[in-house]
Amino acid sequence: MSEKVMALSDRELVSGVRSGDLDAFAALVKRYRDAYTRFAVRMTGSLLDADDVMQSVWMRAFRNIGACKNPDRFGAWLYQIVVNECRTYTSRRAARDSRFVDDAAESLAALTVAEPDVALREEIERALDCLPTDQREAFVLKHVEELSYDQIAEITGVGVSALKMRVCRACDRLRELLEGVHNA
Amino acid sequence: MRDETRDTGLDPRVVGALRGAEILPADFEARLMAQAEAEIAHRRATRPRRNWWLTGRIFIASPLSAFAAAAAIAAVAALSTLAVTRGRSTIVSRPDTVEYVRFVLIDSAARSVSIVGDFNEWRPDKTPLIAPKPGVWSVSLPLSPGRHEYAFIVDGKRWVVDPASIPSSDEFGTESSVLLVAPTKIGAS
Repeated sequence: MSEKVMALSDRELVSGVRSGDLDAFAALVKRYRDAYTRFAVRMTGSLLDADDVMQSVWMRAFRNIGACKNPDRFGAWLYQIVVNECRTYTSRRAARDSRFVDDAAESLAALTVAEPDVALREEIERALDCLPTDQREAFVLKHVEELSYDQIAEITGVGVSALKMRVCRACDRLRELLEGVHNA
Repeated sequence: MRDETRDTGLDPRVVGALRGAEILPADFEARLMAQAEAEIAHRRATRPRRNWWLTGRIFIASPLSAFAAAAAIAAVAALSTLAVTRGRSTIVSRPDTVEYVRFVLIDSAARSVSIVGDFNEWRPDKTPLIAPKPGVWSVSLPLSPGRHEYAFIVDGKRWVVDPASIPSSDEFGTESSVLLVAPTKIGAS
């Protein structure tokens, strides 16, 4: 891909994708490739699942690029798709095979002797997985992605006061679940 | 920007651990662009063509231009025949599309796992699975729509049939698994 294409604005690239230009799409992918990966990993619980979600996110964006009303804010529009796709993925997984795959993975993980840092991180991730999806989503956007409540409200379509409540409950629950970490 | 972590009452290590960077695999873009290219090709092949020759037109020709008009009409007729022929051949020929399928095998004792099937000439060395979580082995593969047979090879020698799939056996009684890949419906979300 040429530097010239990479230098184009989001608006120009979105316009290119609308007319079927794959180079423009590739440039958008390159620009935003890992911007939302961390959020997807925290929501799905693994990089492997996040990879699936992000493939689906980009194909949805590609098919529905005509619905991007403000191409200058392509990133914010894409973020909305990421949030929706993570919600869909986690709800489907809960109804489908999470018991089989995740419980097996957890019990297997518990059998391995991990380094202290790795063990701490795994404990934190497990605690995060225990939160209801809406609380996990609000907590991650606020305290991991460090967005403002106004930004989160725009992306999720949830009111600011409801978001504050969700974040507050998520923090309370995490403190309970991670009591050992706090007392260490 | 003010770090609001302290307002949560959480140990800073908690949020710190969650803020670690996550990077998608190196082949992420290649897989995605393959999907996008297949979709563009499919769109082009199935795009409805306007039957412009069916719309009404008025031609006014003087006696002096009769020969020129006849020649022009003949040329248009020839070109439209070519267009119809091209259009038909494009529509009947299916584009090469692939679907990405993720294979997962749970085996805590395995030291290595690979997959064999009709898509890799049944070669055990060709498609290894990786285990980002201990004991959870997986790989995503691009497969063409249709019926595929496969099996897992554990530790380079143990033949394992996918317990979550349809079983099948060949004329020698060797069991394998069957996967039916349906083509993506363009426009479905």
